[in-house]
Amino acid sequence: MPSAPKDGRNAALYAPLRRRMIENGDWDRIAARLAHELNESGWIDKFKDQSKETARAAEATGGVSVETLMAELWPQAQEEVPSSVRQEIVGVIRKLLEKQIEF
Amino acid sequence: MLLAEDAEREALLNRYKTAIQWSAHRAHDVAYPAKRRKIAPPDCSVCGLALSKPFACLHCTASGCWYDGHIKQHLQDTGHDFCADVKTGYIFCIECDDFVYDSTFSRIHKLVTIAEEEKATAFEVSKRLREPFSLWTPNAQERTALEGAIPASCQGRRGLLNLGQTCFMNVILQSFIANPLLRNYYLSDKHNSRLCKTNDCISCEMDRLFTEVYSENSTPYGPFKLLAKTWRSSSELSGYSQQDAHEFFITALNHIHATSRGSTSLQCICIIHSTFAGLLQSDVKCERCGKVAEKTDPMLDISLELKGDSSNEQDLTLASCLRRYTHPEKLGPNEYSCEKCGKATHSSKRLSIRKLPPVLSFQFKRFEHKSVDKSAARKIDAPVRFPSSLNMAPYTTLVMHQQELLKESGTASPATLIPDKALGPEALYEYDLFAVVCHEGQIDNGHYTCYARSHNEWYRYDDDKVTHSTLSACLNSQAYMCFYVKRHLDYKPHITPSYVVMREQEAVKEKEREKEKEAARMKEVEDELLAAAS
Repeated sequence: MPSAPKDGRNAALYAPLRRRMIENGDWDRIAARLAHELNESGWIDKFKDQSKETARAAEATGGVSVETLMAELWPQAQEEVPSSVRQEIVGVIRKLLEKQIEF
Repeated sequence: MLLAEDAEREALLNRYKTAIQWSAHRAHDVAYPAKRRKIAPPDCSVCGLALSKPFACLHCTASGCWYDGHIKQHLQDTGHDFCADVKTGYIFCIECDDFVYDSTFSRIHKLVTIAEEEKATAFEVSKRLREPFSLWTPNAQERTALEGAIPASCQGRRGLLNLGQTCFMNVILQSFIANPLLRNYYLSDKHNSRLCKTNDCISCEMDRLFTEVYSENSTPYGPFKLLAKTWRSSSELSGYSQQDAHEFFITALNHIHATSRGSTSLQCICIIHSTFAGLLQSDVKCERCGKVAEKTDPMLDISLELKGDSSNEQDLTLASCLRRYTHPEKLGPNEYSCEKCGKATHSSKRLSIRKLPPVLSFQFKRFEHKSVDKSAARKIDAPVRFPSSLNMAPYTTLVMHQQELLKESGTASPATLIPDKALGPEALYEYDLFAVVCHEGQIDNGHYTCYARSHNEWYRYDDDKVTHSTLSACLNSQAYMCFYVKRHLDYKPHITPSYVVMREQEAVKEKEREKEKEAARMKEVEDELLAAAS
């Protein structure tokens, strides 16, 4: 699951950068772009179906909670993000950050 | 499932409403950054980080991160029960240790989200604010009518008998049955087959089809009369040989249009045109002087080429087909002469969708006819990937023109062009898949089946055999046609629907006729009395 970096030189920059990105709306715009790319690649439909059918199959044995389902599917979902999409979005984020901080 | 009792429930609902409203309002503010105003996100009450996906406690003003478990920690520490993801509205219960569903809260989420969208978007032409959505509540008359009504099942699924190589017809009929606009039209008695006097009326057969499908009877239905009427109206479709489903689709649309109310040859508002008709725009740009000639044509569906010059037939997607469809196409010097330059010049033509219909139908041109003789054709079997939800913005005239302007002015195109004050909210462009027609086998001895969505479940229809299926099975099938319906229908502002106006006018005329009849009857009685008296 994603979480903030806890140490290193990135930790001090993370919180204010994150805040600025959210305030500017950059975060939402990039998230929307990512969602669009994932939909076009078929990723969203695949996991929409997989989570639904897994939950349906689990009904027989008392059901499965959302968190359990997420934990079960997360690794595969991460892995199956197309590398081209990952590269593109990382690129967009990098370009945005380059304008704001000195590396 | 009921989230808490009365007084506590009120408080939870209010807090929920506030949280959803904040999120929806912020989404629009952020998307239309006209005032460049920064909207501070809430901070996590545990770690202090700015929240990109806030979860709001429904008992107090705390918010927290989901992924780091901070909001759960807050619930455990305080003994509060519920929190909600402010964007999606999903509610988490600490006692159940899971997300839970409550229909009232779900409804509030929808209403609040729509209300915020209405406030943030206005009509472009009239500059008027949108008419606020309000739930329908029956008046006294309607309530009486409802109390006397016999409830019918809302599950309309029935197999269709194959009447002799008629699977091509059955799949199209199933796509009509699964079509929410057609379903609503016929189920609300807009074309009553028992009162209609038209000969060979196909609209009547549609009415009968819906009545049958939504009846208690779940055995396969044989659309004999519909088939017979189709043969009488279109001789090229008659006979027991396999026909092309798309051809039947277009023919059926034209027949239903011709036998439905409101049918006109221009700007038709019959149920077919209201549902399927869009506008295609073609822009022809003269390479010499830059003048662009615009022309619009009505369309009932979009036919997409699969074979290409450069692209291989692998990795075909609906999006790539649409990009190709709207890509500029070079025209030879003799194909176009510019009005402004006056000479035959090199030019390029570009298609775009000027007006999106409520139901968008796509056909993938799999059958390549080498000549007029249908038997000498080949079928393109290459799979085409298509999504369960589709955003049509990049293929519309409005958005494409905006992209052109940005390109010409050298401005970098932002990550997403919509929502935008001029281009409208996402809601205008979003579609959901509801039916897919598949073809297996060769051109002359193949078989049609289809997938159709009923509420949120997918079913496979193979003539009389109906089986419960999955989204995945549908998306992995070899699609020939795909049907999408707009997620949110657009309405003109504050207009009484024409059929209501007509109904009111009819009622007035009917009253006049009754008065005249009564007056004539009275006169007769008077005359008789006078005759008897004299």
